[in-house]
Amino acid sequence: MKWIMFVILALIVILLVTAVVALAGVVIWLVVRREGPLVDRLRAAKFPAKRLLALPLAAWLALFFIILLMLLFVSAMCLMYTFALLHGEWLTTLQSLPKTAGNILIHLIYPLQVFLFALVTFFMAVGGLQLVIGPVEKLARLRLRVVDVADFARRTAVLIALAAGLEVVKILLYGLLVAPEHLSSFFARETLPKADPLGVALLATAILLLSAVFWLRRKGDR
Amino acid sequence: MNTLRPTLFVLMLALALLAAVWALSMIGSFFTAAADYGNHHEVTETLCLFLAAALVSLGLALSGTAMLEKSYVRTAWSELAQLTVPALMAFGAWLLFVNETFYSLFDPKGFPVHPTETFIYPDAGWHGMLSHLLAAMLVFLGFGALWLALRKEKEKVENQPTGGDGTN
Repeated sequence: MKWIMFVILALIVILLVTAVVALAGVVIWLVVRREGPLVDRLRAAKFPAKRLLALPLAAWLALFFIILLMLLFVSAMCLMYTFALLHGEWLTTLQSLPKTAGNILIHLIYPLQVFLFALVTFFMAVGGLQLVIGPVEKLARLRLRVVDVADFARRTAVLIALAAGLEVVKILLYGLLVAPEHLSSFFARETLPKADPLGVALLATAILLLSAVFWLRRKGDR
Repeated sequence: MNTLRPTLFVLMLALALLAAVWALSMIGSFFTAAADYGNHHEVTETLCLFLAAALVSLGLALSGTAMLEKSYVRTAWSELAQLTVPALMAFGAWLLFVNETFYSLFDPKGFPVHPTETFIYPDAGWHGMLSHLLAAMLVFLGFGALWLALRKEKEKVENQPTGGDGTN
């Protein structure tokens, strides 16, 4: 293993430890102060067995914080994979290819997509936490403050759209630049085994419905 | 009717707990993949299902606690959206991985991003370039439309006239 990988590993470990300490602090704060949108909703409710109702919420919160840790772990792994891909693409693949603008661009897209995925999972962890405990003002400086679910969805959507857009660019570049005379032998089977037409149709319908809900809400508010 | 809201709360939280347990149960696949280099691309589908389960769990908990509020019927659409948005994000992420939109590089069954792979794995049964392009475009346009719809809503809130004392 090269020294640079040790440096990257050390950085990721430091990041993870910092994240775990910060998360533990938030959990302690949540337990001690007992504040946050979800807890507030329970506190505001007027039911005789309110303490009993707190049990499922407490159990879910405990599991959710473990999930947040796993999300941070996935994000760190994606970050490390980005470096590994850059290393592989530049030092291995590009050594055997001519360093043209098209080649360099194509081989930079995949590491960039994985980096975007690291951002998506990191944002899912940070944003998901704020949906539970409420917006953290200090994160506004880093533009990581999440106000509500719509804010959370908007930012996640743009990151996923960017990654998918890069995929479109990558395929178009391959079609236009990489040995087009051989493409017919590369893509011999023009069927949809992986595209899952039902899944694609469900996704398209759900996105359209959701956009319509937001559009109608906006129209109703006028 | 007084028991309806706490019942709905308990039901939704129970579902949220189930989704959380489902998400956490996938940790085994992560460790298996980490231990075996040959499995590290196959785990991506599990990874996205983990994201889906985590976000669905969050959505259910948010909607469940909203059931405790008296005005939950009036805000039903909003809560439905609250549940749908994380679920949709998760489904979209899962779809990306089912299509191997990101991680198709070294998987012999996916889209051959490196042309040499077709020679390394000649019998892999690649899926077509056009179907891959269409799936990627659909995901791009779908999530782009969602971002646009939500962005306009944010702009509307920001552009609301403020009162004389600076409050909305």
